Amino acid sequence: MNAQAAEITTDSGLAERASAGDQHAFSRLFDAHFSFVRGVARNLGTPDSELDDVVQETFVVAFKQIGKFTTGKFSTWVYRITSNLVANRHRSRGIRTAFAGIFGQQPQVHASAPDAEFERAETGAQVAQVLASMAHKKREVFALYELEGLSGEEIAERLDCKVETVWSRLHYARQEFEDIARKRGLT
Amino acid sequence: MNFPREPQRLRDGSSPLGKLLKTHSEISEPDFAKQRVWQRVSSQLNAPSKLKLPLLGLASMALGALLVLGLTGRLSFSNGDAAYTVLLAARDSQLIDRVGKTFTPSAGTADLHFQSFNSGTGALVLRNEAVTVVAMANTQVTQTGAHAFTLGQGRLALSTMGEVTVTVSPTTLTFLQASAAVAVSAEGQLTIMVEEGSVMLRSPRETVELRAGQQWPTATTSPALKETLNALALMKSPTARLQVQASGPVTVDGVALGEPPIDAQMHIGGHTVEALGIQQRVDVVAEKTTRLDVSTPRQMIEEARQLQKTGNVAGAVEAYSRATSTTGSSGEIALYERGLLRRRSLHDASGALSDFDEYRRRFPDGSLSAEVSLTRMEVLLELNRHELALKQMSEFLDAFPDSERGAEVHLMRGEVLRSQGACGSALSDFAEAKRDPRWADDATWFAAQCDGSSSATRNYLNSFPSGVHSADARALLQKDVK
Repeated sequence: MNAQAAEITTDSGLAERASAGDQHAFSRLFDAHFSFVRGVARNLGTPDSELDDVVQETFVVAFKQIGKFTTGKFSTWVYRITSNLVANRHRSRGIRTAFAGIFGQQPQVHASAPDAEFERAETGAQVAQVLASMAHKKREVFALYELEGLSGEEIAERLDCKVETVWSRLHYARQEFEDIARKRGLT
Repeated sequence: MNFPREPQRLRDGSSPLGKLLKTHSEISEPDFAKQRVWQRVSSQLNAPSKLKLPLLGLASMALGALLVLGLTGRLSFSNGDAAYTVLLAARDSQLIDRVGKTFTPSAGTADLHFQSFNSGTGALVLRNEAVTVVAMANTQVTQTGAHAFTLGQGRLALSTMGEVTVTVSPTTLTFLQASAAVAVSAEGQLTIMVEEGSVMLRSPRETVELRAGQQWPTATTSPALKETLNALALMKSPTARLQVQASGPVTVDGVALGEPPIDAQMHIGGHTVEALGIQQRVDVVAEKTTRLDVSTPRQMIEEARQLQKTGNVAGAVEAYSRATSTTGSSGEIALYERGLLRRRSLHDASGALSDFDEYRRRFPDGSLSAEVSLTRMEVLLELNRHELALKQMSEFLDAFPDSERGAEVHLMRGEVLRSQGACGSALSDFAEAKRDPRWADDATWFAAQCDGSSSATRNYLNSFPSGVHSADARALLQKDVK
């Protein structure tokens, strides 16, 4: 246990220690932001089966680039990493995923989950499928507003855009979400 | 145009979509996932010691080929509150491969199901606190005397069998089958090398603690412990009780045991029990009595469905497996359902394919032939066996010309052909698929992709202005303009 890291409580302080190679400080950042990153990945349409991979990649990238985090909120910075990784994954899904979509296969749901958990996972998978079909920018705004419950100002800050842009994107994002959901028989 | 600011969130409304989003947003991120992912992250931050790789590499080379049957193992966990990650080292490659499977031991135990493989070796690496491996017992004896497991994607592991209990306190444990010099096949000698932390080896008679850098057997290992573990490695499997409830005579491994109830000591491992004219494979497990109630095939299928419903996939597969040897519709259903389970829940496409192949062989005119054909072609695509998949699709279209899923198959065949650059052939499939409104959107889009022209993309947008691919189509047109 690193005594110095144990005393630091702010994200920026921990990030500074982590950039100096202090892994304990980084583990505390991981601990504090794990749920956030996993939630973001989920809300951006990552299938359950890939959530751990995305979170892992996010934190490995974050650790390697921690020196680049200098100002602002750590959560905003790590959000951008997660969002980019998720977007790359959506883009790079090849023909097999296309086939899965064509044939209406549901994303894999953990087999041993109890009933209620299974149902939640199934719902999650349905929403993830719709989100994965949306355009990236619209998906981001939709997820932040509808799923994470952020305000327009918070979303604008997170995405580095004007608040007006948030509302216009949200308007079209909702149309797209409803449209895709309807085509998939979810309404 | 003014867009609404802060509109009511969909999830706060009562529409079906709102309810869906509300449920989705209530999904919480489980703590066990945190622990599991941190292990993976930290292992990447700390690249494994270069010293470790050659150890496995050498062992792999020394062991050579193993012949192994399908196996089942069981892990039990000493701490029900924690999640444990089992990492499997891949053959001839990394010391620690990606996470193989994580168990949440809410029930205290978790069954492992492994696929068969024909050659190779590897190591079972357990990471976490206080993991106990018990009763890796219901396995098949192999030619070389090794126990080997694979867990999907070619990841595999070795373990001993019998009553050996290994407690790992917090450490990374690598369980290595001995090198050829130790003569695994002839002697059954076992070597355990501890890489980090400490490892407790327990036999029924004593306990030995090994620390990092040490290996077993050590100079101080008592003959008794050595004998115990070597005996286990030799697979002199202990016996356990097998009880059979049925009506009518029972035979076990071809030996008539008379009328039930049967209560006999059996060697641990697989046995073939025949009762009511049905043969069943039964795994006698160490340290507990294995009970077998011979059910009718329909009861077995019903049991499998109940198990499946409660999330007990391993149990469901086992129940279906018992019913697969029967003839008639029960055998058909059991094979098909087991194949589906293997594919969807165990992510075992190869296993599923072997079930569907067996179905086709045994029930060429079966009542589920169409379903089996459709699922089989999807599995073949998953396995990247495109030529076989194409053959299966053509066979399906010939055999079931009026199938309501014909359009899907045309669409799928068109996509495979398009991916192979055979757009000329693909277009006729897309034309067929377009006739079904359910697939017209996709078929038109894929046909436009084949065409590759802006006008084809525009035509798609004219037909499906808010289609599934409309965003892509617009992006493509904008790109063309630039």
